[in-house]
Amino acid sequence: MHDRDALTGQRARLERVLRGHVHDSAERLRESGQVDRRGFVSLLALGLAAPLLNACDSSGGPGAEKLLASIGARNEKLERWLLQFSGDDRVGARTRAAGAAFPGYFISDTVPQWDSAASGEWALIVDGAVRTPLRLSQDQLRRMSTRQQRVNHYCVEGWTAVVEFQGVPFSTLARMAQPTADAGYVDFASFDEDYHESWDIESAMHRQTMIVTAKDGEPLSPMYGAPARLHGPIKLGYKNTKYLTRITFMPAPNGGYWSDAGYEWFGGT
Amino acid sequence: MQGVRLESTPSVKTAIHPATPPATHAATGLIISGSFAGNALIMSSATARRERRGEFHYRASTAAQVWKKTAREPPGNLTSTWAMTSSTGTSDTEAPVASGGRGHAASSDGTTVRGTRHHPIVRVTHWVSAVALAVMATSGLRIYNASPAFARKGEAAFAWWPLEGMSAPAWLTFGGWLGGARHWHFAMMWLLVLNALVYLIYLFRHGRWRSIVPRVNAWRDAMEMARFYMFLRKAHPVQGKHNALQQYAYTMMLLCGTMLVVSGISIWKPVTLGWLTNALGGYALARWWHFLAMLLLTALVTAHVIMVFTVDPYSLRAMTTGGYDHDRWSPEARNARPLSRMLPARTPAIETSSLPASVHPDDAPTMPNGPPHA
Repeated sequence: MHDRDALTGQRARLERVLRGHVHDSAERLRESGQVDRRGFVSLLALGLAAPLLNACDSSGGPGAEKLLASIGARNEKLERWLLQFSGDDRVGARTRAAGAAFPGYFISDTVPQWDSAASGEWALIVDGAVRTPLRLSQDQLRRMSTRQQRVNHYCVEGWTAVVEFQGVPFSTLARMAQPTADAGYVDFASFDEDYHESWDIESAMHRQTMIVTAKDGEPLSPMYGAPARLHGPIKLGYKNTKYLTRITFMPAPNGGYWSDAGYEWFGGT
Repeated sequence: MQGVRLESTPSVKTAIHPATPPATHAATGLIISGSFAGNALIMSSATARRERRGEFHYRASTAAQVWKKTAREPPGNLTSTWAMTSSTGTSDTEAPVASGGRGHAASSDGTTVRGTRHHPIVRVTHWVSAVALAVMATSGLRIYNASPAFARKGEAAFAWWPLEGMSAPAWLTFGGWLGGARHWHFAMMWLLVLNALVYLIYLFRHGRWRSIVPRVNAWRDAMEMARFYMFLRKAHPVQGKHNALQQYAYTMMLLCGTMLVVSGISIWKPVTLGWLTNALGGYALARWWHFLAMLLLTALVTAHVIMVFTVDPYSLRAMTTGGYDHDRWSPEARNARPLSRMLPARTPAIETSSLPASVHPDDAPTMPNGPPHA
């Protein structure tokens, strides 16, 4: 996924060439003592090109980084405002789910499996800024899984897949736990190493956001995030934590695995 | 009952028939009046303000007369229909020459004076959009490369799409990695859109869209341009500010840009703005539309750049400092095909133009069917 290194050599070479050119132009400038039009234009062009080339790596210089971050923050405000107009994600009535073609994904080296012997019985914990913290066993969660939906899954890479999931709407859990007034964010943690992602509460309360326990009518397999995973079409794939262990209501966001790696924290669709 | 019908039929005929002109005249009249009515509608406030300040002397009636004149008497100094030729000495010009402002001043000795070909707004937005489009296209390719296929997982591939699964070469991409490219893409989109809005507002407020958008019958002129480029005719077709091929290309660029923005928004927010995504055929197709519009726009821009350097390198100056000597530099004056007759034309013998000098180049008429000696 990260080919930053692949570009580094190429970029370094370009930079060297570019610096040489800028240096030459500057030298000519110093010798002649004045800028002719040609010199001015080429200096201007190089001056414009240098930061651009420099920025080929997204961290591209502190200036570009800062600018992109500030525009990103504005975008996020707009996206959160737009969210209020959001309806449901829809797929055609006759569209079939991707089934086994839906890619499995985790960050551990091997498929993460809950080790009951070492860590005790798996349970989903709901805590943080709530009046009634919950501890739901796999059985309880499965019995609560009454919602079935066929929706799109939007990956940040650009592909989509139709998925058929059964589970508990997040709003149901929220009603049970009764979050306090300051709980504006929710963090979803997993046992897939330190993978977690935090959401704004508005996206979490979207009608189609749910805690999934079954896929295509079968209990979730370890490949797809067993025993339970988060899924909502309102967020990009990487925001949907698999291998869930804990849902924490919070007054402030606490980033996430991919959000901290440089992808947008909001990641909304 | 029957009597009434028999009586009424001839009376209706006589009422309508004499008033109906031949079809061709009707069509021509429609084009002229439609064009100038639209012009009056859009330009009214700007025109009024200019005229109050005394800097703007364009009048629809003047242009209409010019159009009729050239339509009736096509030969003569037609290559300079919109060149800035002097009107000094001709007493029959309707309006005085605008001084300063647009730079279409004519000198007193009857020689052509170079003027500003493009408004500063056009020159600035042109280069801003060049940078913005370059960053958008290259960062977009980096995003595309993360998943260079359009079909949904588990569904039949876009078998009819030859590029399905083909990724773009790394040197064409920008942003370094997927996340970085996304940041650039979602930041640069604002520059692109705001810049385009400034340009489009200028274009419509000042009526300049008429030099960009081809007329209904411009395809004939486009054919003539193509024939000229293919050495099937000797003389460069008479044109206004741009030739018909340019008009089609530039209008197509604007349409591609619009499509890019609309489809881009639809794949940015496929759930929140799901109605838009669905209108484009769903996310996968919307993404494909976005890609297709990019390919088409890139092809047009590439052709544009090639034509600038091989046919009209002088337009580089027109698009930066604004200076352009139509009578010596324009491809029309040089009778230039790609890579031929690159040097300026000899200054043509100045005839005192029969056209009023107050006609702005953009407003000059184009010959519907090319010159008669084609």
